[in-house]
Amino acid sequence: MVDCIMDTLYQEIADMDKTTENRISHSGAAIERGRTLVARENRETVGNITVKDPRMTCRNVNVYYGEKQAIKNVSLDIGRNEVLAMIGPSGCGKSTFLRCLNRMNDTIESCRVTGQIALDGADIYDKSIDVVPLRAQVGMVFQKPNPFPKSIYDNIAYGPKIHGLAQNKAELDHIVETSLKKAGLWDEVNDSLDHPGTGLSGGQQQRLCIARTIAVNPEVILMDEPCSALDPIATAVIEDLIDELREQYSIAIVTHSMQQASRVSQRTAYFHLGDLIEVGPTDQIFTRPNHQLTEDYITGRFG
Amino acid sequence: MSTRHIVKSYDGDLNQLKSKLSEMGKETADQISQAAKALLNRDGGMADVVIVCDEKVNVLQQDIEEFGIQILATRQPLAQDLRGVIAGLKMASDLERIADYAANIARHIPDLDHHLELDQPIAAIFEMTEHTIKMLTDVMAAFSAGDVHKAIDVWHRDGQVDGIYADLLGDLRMRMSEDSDNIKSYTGLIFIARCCERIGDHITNLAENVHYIEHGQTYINGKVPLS
Repeated sequence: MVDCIMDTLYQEIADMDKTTENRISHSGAAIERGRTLVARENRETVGNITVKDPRMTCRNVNVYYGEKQAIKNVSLDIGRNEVLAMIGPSGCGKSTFLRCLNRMNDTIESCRVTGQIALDGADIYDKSIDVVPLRAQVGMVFQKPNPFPKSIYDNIAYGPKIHGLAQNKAELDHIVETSLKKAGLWDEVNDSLDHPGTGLSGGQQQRLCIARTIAVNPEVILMDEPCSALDPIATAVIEDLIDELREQYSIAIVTHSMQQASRVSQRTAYFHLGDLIEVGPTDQIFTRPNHQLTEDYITGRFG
Repeated sequence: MSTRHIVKSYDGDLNQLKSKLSEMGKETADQISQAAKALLNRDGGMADVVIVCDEKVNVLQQDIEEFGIQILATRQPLAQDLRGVIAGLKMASDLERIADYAANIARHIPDLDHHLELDQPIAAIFEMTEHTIKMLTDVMAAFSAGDVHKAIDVWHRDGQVDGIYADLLGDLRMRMSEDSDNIKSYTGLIFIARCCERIGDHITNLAENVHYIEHGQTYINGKVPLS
């Protein structure tokens, strides 16, 4: 009888062994199939630069400051209703690239931009384009909040006034209220609209600047390190706001905080010494990057 | 009770992780229930369905793992949020093992000779499965609500499952010694009972994780370990 029990037990154990063996050989095969990252020396963009139905398209963009080339042959789409984050070490060209998108680089004398940049299919560098309305359509929020030395109301009303967006005071009031509401600032300032914008806290000033940008009906909002001067709570308030703004606008944000990029964006583009190294869905970039340089940067392994 | 995150989508992600775990818990409890019914009725067809449906639970676990890692990468959770994600990943793993044991129960049903009278041991095993299904449902409810007391209560109920198992082992050993022609059936029942006992143990892991999420320390053997 003991032999019978032992035979049955041996059979069970043998069956278990077979299952285990199968699992081990499968996992071994999986290890052999492991992914290889694109080598550091390779500077061609990895990942899909295009999106379906883009808001802005950039092709073969080069930027020079005098003799120095700051952006090297970069092509990249900005999608509708998405947040595109641009990350990379200091001097990689991400802010330079951002400033091309609404021709802010025009204000820098030594700066030369080549290539094609289009908003809804129309080349923004075409000679017929007036940069003033362009900068309303593609608005910018800067690192240091820069409210005008005016009242909160006038900060918001200024843009719509000069662009002729309101026929009368009532319409202007409506624009001011709507913009402040969208920027999440209305509840805090609606009873003090005549107070100076500069009297607000840092986080409030930045939201005022965002409201100012929204007031002129942009298609795209560019943000150049919008939270780097703000504390963690003010930063979180703006990040939550970015989530909401995305429903209506396209947003391109430059940030030196990878953590912020991973929190707010749907696509992330990594720049390195003027090259666009890799672009892809944010969760893929931060969990399984395909370029060695991207992996080096995000894991804190700088060469 | 904790307040909401300033960034609403962050709450959305964490809640989604919790929902996925709740769904996985329901599927797993269902697998145990179906395996138990298949055993009670000695239904080979139903047993086959349980074995095939195990894949559904595996897919849920992989999805939770991917999503949990994505949250770690994109939100950099800290403190209770970090514990929640890490414990969530571990709980998905425990649920997957529980479902494996349910499938293993189903796999051993064909071992049982149809002509053999096994009502008493099968009833004992069925009782074990009823306990474990209730424990699993309760511990997942405790997880959803962040109710540590309820989780610890579940942790202690594993003693009942162990008690039934110990008695059953004694009974089956006796039957084997008196009826050596039917060793295969009795060893099959031992394996099945062992699966139930292991399910209970994994459910205590789930309870320990609920404690860990809230308190930052694991509940082991009725004590919280010294830091």
